[in-house]
Amino acid sequence: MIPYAPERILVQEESWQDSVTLEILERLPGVEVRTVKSREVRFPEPSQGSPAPWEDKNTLFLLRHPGSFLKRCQGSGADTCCNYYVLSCTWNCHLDCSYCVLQSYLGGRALVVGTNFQDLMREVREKLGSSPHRIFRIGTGELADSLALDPATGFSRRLVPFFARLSNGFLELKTKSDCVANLEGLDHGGHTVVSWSVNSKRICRTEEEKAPTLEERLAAALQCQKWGYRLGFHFDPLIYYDGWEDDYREAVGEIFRSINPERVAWLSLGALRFPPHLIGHVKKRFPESKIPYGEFVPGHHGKMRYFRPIREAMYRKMISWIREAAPGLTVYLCMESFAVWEGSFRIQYPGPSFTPDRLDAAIIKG
Amino acid sequence: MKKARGYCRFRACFAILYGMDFQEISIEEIDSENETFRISEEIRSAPMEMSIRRIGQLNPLLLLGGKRPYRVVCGFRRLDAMRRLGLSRVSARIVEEENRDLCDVFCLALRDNISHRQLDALEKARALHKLRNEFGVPDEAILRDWQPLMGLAPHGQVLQSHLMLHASDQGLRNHFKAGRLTLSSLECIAAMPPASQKFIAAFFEGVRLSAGLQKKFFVVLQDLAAISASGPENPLEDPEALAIANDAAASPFQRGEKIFAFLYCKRYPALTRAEERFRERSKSLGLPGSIRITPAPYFETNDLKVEFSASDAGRFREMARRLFEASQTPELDSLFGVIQKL
Ligand code: SF4
Repeated sequence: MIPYAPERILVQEESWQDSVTLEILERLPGVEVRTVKSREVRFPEPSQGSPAPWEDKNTLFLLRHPGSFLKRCQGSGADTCCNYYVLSCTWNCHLDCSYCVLQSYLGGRALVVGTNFQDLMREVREKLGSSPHRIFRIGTGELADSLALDPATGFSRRLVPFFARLSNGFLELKTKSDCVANLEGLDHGGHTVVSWSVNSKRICRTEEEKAPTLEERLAAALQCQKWGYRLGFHFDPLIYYDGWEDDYREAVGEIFRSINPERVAWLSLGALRFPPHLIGHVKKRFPESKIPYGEFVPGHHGKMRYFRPIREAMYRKMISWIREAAPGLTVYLCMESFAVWEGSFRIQYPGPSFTPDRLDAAIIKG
Repeated sequence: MKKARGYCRFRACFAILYGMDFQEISIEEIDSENETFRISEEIRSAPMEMSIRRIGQLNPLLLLGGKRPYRVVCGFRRLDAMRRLGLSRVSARIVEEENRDLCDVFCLALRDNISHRQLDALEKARALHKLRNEFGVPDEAILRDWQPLMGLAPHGQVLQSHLMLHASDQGLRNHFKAGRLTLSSLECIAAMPPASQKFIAAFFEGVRLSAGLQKKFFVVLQDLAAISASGPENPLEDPEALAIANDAAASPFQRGEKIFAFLYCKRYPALTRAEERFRERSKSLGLPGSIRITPAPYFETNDLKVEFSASDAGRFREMARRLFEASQTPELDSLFGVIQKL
């Protein structure tokens, strides 16, 4: 994987008081650093106007995040919602996967790191404390890759021990990277799942060009397994193309040839979905990509997704290959309807809390 | 400091006009073939001809002197009208060419056009092409000074798309001028290779699409071309598409709709197959047309929607009876089967 090496670092003036800032600067010596006045800081939301020309992906922006760090996953509301929370402390990603939704609204903007980690931890503690009998599964990989920036931020070294002390909180670090060195030797207390977004080798090669290969991701996963972490895998996005069956079947086989399924907390399947305007970005930025030419129709939340029979056929086959390789593994579908779930698993969906209950049980099992 | 070339030099323009006298000259002394300064897309103008016939020439032509014959700077349409009216002498002002920057002269012509009428997209494209490629005005000056004057956003992309428009196939430009293609369709086709442009221009001789359908049509066409890694004209070369385009029994709009349906079917084969099967099975229920059965949008769920309206109890009972009868048939199971096993 090409490690992130910014050309410049912008520091919001208040962020100089945060230890996160000093640590990041120590880890990135020799990079030009500029202080930015608070009133000049534009948080990377689409509504905030265009960024200055130098605020591109070669810029790392360290700032105090003014809003909430913890939110319900955007999939909430889908029939088979898994009741997931997302914790955002970094925004944007340098890996540039062709289908990545971030390009449509964060585009080529700077990568942003929130330095007010104390606020983040307070917010998590308060949220979890308000419902002490509920299990919270919380992931950091929604608006950025959880670990791709970790060599610079070292966030995993703060988050993993923090979650180890939360009785009802479980952290999922979702990544395509192989940046796992910081996870070694941490006291995770069984409260961190390190999970990989995986794909067929062909998709890894053509659509996730800057990310590590499948073999490299699996080598990193194996390392984490040896350090005692539970693992997760997400075949997300599943992409339909001529020959997908052989390729995905091979990928499933490859995972479970090296990884012990007993140590895998869950595996999710999610067919490609995206807001309609993403297609234009993909066609322009990745003219070689065949992704825009799938048979997509508008679905849940107005997102485009493969026509239902295509999704169901993919899920059904994937489930059968996974069952062969790892019987008993907790498999779930991301952001799907009851109809698709039933068409894929070939049984009636037992009830709205089925998926979250299974995932809670899987993580508590330890 | 010397201004960049092409900066809209008001003073330069004014200096050209300053002190020029009106002259009456023979129309034979004017070279109407030379289009160095031409901006108008359409030279022939019936209203202009009528106006000159009724009240004569109101505004003098602006001509470039020096070598003979004179070149037209402003007044291509007036000159054309006067030639067709058989006038032999015209009133003109002459700009002497000596020591004159021709870019300034073109800028004057452009200002003159912009000041009294709205340029259409092809005229803007022609003007931008000339500023940039014939008079060497830097992009920066075009974006900053000229595009806003023409009502265009000062973006490089806008300049590029207009340059493509200018270079587009003449047949396509004619379709646009005749209102058969929208500007966004023309922009889309102008980005295609010349051979594809030519093919599409010829194809549209006998096919019409509403403005709304054109947008979808070209997206589907380009998607199909990308899927088959071929030129954008490729899907239209299909014998079935050609047969529709040549169907003498259909109107140009009907041909357009049929070709779109044909392409859509190729682009979304599973969806169109499912819709077709659903239509067949729901027909086999034998319900009257006043009872509508529709699947969930894009068959995303297994639900069916049944709708009817009844204006009195008798009709309501009749509809309910027909529905009850349909509910007892195996065709109903088969209809749900279509959705569940798409
Ligand atoms: S790794 Fe994830 S966040 Fe990064 S570009 Fe790829 S999809 Fe986007």
